[in-house]
Amino acid sequence: MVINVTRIEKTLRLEHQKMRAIVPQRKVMDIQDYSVDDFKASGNNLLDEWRVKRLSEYLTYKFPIWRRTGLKNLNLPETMPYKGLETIDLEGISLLEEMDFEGSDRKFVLLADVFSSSGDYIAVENDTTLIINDLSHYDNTLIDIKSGELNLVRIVDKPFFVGNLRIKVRKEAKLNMYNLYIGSSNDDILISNVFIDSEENSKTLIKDFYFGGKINTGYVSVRLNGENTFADVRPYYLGNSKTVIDILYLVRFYKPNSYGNVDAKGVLADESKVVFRGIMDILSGAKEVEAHQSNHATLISLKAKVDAIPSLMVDENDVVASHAASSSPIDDNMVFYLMSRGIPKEDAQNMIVRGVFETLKDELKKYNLEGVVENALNSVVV
Amino acid sequence: MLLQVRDLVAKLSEDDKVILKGVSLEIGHGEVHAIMGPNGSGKSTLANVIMGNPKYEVVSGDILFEGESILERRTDERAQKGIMMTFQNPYEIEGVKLDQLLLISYRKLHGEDKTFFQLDKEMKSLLNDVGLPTEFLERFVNLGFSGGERKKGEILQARFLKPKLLILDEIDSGLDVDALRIVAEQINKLKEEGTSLLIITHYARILNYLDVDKVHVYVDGKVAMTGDKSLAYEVEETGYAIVNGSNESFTQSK
Amino acid sequence: MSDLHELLYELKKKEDFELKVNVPAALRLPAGLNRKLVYEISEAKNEPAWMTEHRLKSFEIFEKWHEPDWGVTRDELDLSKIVPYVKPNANKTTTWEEVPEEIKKAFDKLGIPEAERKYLAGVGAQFDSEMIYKNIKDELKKLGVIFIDIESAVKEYPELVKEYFMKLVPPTDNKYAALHGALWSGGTFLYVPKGVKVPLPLQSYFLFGNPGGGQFEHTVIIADEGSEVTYIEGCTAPKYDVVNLHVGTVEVYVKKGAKLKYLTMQNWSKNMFNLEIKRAIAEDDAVMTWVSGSFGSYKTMVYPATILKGDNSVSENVSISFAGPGQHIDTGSKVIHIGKNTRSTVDARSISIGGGWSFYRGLLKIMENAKHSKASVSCTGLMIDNKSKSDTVPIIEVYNTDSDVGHEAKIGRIKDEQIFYLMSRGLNELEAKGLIVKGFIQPVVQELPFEYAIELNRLVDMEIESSIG
Repeated sequence: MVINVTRIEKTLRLEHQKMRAIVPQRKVMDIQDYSVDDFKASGNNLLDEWRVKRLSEYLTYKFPIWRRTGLKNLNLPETMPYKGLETIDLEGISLLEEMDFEGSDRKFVLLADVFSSSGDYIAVENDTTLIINDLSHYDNTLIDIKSGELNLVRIVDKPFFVGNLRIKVRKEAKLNMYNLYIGSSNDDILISNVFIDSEENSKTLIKDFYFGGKINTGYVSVRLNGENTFADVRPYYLGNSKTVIDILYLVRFYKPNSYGNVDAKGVLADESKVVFRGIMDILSGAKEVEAHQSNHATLISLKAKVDAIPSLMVDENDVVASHAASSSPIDDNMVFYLMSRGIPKEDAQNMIVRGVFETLKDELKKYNLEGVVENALNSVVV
Repeated sequence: MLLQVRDLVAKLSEDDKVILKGVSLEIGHGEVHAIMGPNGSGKSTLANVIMGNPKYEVVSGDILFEGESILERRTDERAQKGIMMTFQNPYEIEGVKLDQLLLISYRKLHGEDKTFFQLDKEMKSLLNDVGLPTEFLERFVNLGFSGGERKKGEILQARFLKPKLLILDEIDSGLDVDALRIVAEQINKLKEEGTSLLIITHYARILNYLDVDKVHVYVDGKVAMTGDKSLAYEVEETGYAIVNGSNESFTQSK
Repeated sequence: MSDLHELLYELKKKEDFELKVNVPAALRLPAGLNRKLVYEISEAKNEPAWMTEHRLKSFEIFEKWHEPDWGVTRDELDLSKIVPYVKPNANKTTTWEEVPEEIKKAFDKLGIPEAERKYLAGVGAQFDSEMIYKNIKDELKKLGVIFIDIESAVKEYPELVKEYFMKLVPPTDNKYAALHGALWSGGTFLYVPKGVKVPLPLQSYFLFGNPGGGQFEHTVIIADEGSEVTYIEGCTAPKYDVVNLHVGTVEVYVKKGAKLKYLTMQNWSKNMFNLEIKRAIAEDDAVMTWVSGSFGSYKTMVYPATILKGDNSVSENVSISFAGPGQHIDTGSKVIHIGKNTRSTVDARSISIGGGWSFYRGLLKIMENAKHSKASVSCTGLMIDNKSKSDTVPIIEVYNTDSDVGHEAKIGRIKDEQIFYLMSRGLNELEAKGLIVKGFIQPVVQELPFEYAIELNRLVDMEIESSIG
C-alpha cells in the first residue's frame, strides 16, 4: 500500500498565481526543551518511523512567543511512556500523512505527535457515542468515521495540555462533537489542535466550550474536501479572571456546493480577553459554496477585551460569503423587556448571560454533562 | 410580420431539461397578443428566450424579427433592434440611478435624436403618468422598490425607451386594483404610440382593460390553442384542462 | 528495533550541530545610496541646518531598521535606480518617447490636454492651470491660507514646519518612513487658519513646480480650530516613472472643531511599488474624512489611518481599490479611538478582475478610555471574474465595554441576471459590467468634484475593457 505524500493544511494561504504576500516571522522563546533522549518507543515500528520524522522536524523549531495571548514561557513536564496511536495500521498512517496541519503552532502539533501519553486510534463504522475524559497532558487521537454517526464528547481539564485530534469524516458519515476545555486555576495552559477532513455528503457539527485557565487556546481546521459537505461550527467562550481565550477557526472550501458556518459567541467578565481568529477560505473551483462566519462577544465588565480577526479569503467568484463581528455590553432593550416583566435588573442581566449558553447546555444534557457549563457559569455570574 | 416564432424548442443551458417544446407564434405590427398558461409551464422562458437570455439554449426552431432571424444576436443587439421585456422580478442594480440607466439606454437604442433636456422632461412626465414620485429617478434601480413600484418602474422604462415589440412577463402579478388600472392604461398608451405587445399573464383580469387581437393558451411547452378574448375568460372559468378537451378542471391558485 | 535506534542516533548527531536559524539577508544598499547623497540633496535645496540633520538622522535609522515582515513581496524592488533620480540637478525629465505605449494610449483615451503630456515629459508646470491657479492664489492669500510647496515652506515658515513635519509619521515608524525622511522631495504644505472655511477644493497639481520625480513627496496639512478644507491629491492620469518605488507620506492635523477631507486618486503605472503612509490626528470635535481610490501600480500598500485623539471626534474612511491583471493591492484602513464619544465608519470596496489580488487589511482599535464610541466597518469585494482573489482580514480590538462596534464583510460577483437585465436595455456586456462596477463605487464617486468623477468613470471603463475585453 502506498503511503500518501504529506499534505500540510496551512492556516493562511497567502498567494495568488505568481504573487505572494509576506508571512510574518514568528518570535520564539528560549527554554529547556526535549531532546532525542526523551523519545519513548511505542512498540509499533510503522508508528515510530513516522514519530521519528516528526521528532526531527520538532527539533528544528523553538517554542513560539504569542504576543496577543501573553504566552512567554513554558515549563515542560518530564516525558512519560508513550501512549496514543500504538494500534495504528498502514491505513492510519496514510490518514496521518493526509491530515497534517499547522495547528496553533507547528511546534505544538509536533510535540503532541511525538510525546503523547494518552490518545487512541479509533475506526467508527456504525452509530457510536464516545465520551473521552481521561486525557493526559499530551494527547494524540486519530478517528476515522468510515460510516454512521459519531457522537463524541471530550472533556479536557488539566493544568497543562497540548493535544491533537484528527478526524476523517468519510462519505455520507456524520460527526457530532462537543469539546469542553476547562481550566481550573489561573496558571493553566491548554492548547488544543483539531483537524477535520470531511468528504462528500458528510455532515460535521461541532460545539466547543472554553472556560478558565491562564491561556486557553483552541485551533480548529475544517477541510471541506468533497461536494455537498456541511459544517456547522459553534465555539462558545466564557472568560473570567485574567483568562485569555485564543481561538482560531478555519474552514477551507475545496469543492463546490458545500456549506460552512462558524458562529462564535461568548461572555467576558473581569479582566478576561478573547482573541477570535476566523478564517473562511474559498479555493478556486469551489463554486456555489456558502460561507458564513460571525462572532459576538458580550462584555460584562469594564476591563474585558476582545480582539477579533474575522478573515474572508475568496478565490472563486460564484459563491455566497459573508462575515460579521460585533461586541457590545448586555443589550439594554433585552434588560428592559425582562424588567417590564417584574425581574430585577441584576437578575435580568444574569439571565441574559446564561441565555447565551442555553442551547449548548441543552445538548449536553444527553450526556449528563450540562453541569460542566453550569459550574463554569456559577463561578462567573450569580 | 413583426415577430415570428417557429417551432421553437429550448432547454436550460446547464441541463437537459427541455422547457419550450415547439412553440409557434406570429405577431403583426401594431398587434396585441396575450399568452396564458399554468404556473411553471415555461411562459417566462419564452420571453427570456426571445430576449436571448444565456441561461437558455435553443435546440431547434427559429425566431424572426422583422423578417430576420435573431437567434445569433446577443441580448443587447436584440434590444437595439427594438425588442424589450419587462421583468417579473427585475434585478436590483445598486449604485446605478434610474435616470442614469434610462439615459444610457435611450442613447443606445435611439442615438442622439433628442436633447438631454427633452429627455429629462419626458422622464419626469412619465413618472407622473405611472404615479411614482419624482425622487424615484434618483433611486438606485429597483433597490428597495415594492412589488408594485417595480412593475411601474418597468412600464416607465418601456414607455421611455419606446420598443417596437414589448414583452410583458406577468406585469400584473402582485398588483392591487389601482396599480393594475394604471399599468393597463400605460399598456394602452404604448399601443397608441406604436408598440406591439406580447402580454404573458396568469389571469385574465388585465384583459378587462385591454383590447387584444389574439389570445394563446400555452400548456406543456407549446401553444395549445389560439382564440380571441373570449377564450381567455373560458380558460379562467374552466381551467387549462380545456385544452385537452377533458372535463377535469385544474384548481387554479389565485 | 535497530532501525529505530539508528534513526535516533542520526538525529542526535544533527542536534549537536548548531541549528541554523533563518535570518533574512540584510538589505544591501546599492552604490551611491549613502549619507553623501543625502547631504548633497539637502545642500542643493539650500535647506536650513535642522532639515539637513533630520535627513541624515533618518538615513541612519533606515540603515539599521529591519524590513517589515508582512504585506506584498518586495524582491523586485531595485533601490539603485533611485540614486540618479534623487541626485540634485540630475536630468529629471523623461522624454515623451521613453514613456511606455500603454501610458500614451491612456492619455489619448482620457483626452488629457497637451499641457499634461508636457508635464509628464518633465517640462515644467501646467500651462492651462496657471491661470486658474493665479486667481485662487489671491483668494487664499486674503484668507490667510498658506498653500505652497513644502520645500518653500521649510524656508519661509520654519517654525510651523518644525512643529508638524514628520511628527505624526516619524522616521522610526518603519524602514520606508526612514528612507522617505532622508530622501523626501516635493509635496504640499497647507495651513488653514482658525475659523477659515476654504470655499473650493484645493488640488495638488496647482502647485506644480517640480518636474519629474514625485516619488518621495511629503504633504503636511494643518486645519486649525474651526476651519474647513478639502484637499485633492493627484489626478487620475497615469503617472509614469522609471524609478519603480513611490513612498509618499501624508500627515494631517485636524484641530478642534475643524473639518478636513483628503481625496486621493492614485493611478501609478503598472510597474510601480506604491507604499504610502497616510496618517491623520483629530482633536476634540474634529471630523476627518479619507476618500481614496487605488487603481494603478503593480503592488500597493496603503492604509489611511486616523487617530481619534479628541473627544467627539469623527473619522470617515471611504475607499475603492481596483486590482487588475498582475496587480497585488494590499490596502485598508486604521482607526484608533482614544477620546470619548468618538465615531468612525469605514466603507472599503474592492474590485478584482483578470487575476488581480485585492487584500483588505484593517485595524480598528478602541482603547480603554474611548468610552461611548461607535465604530462600524463595512468591506465589500466585487470579483468580476473567476481568476481573481479577494481577501479581507480585519483586526478589531475592543478594550472597553461601553462601545458599539460592528464589522461586516461581503464578497460576491456580478450576477448573470444583472447583466442580462442591462443588456435587455441595449447595453453590451462590457458596458453592462462597467455600469455595475460604477454603481459599486458610487459612494466614492459622489465625494469627488465633477471633473474627477468623469475621469474616474472613464478610468473604470478603460480598466474593464483592458482586463476583460
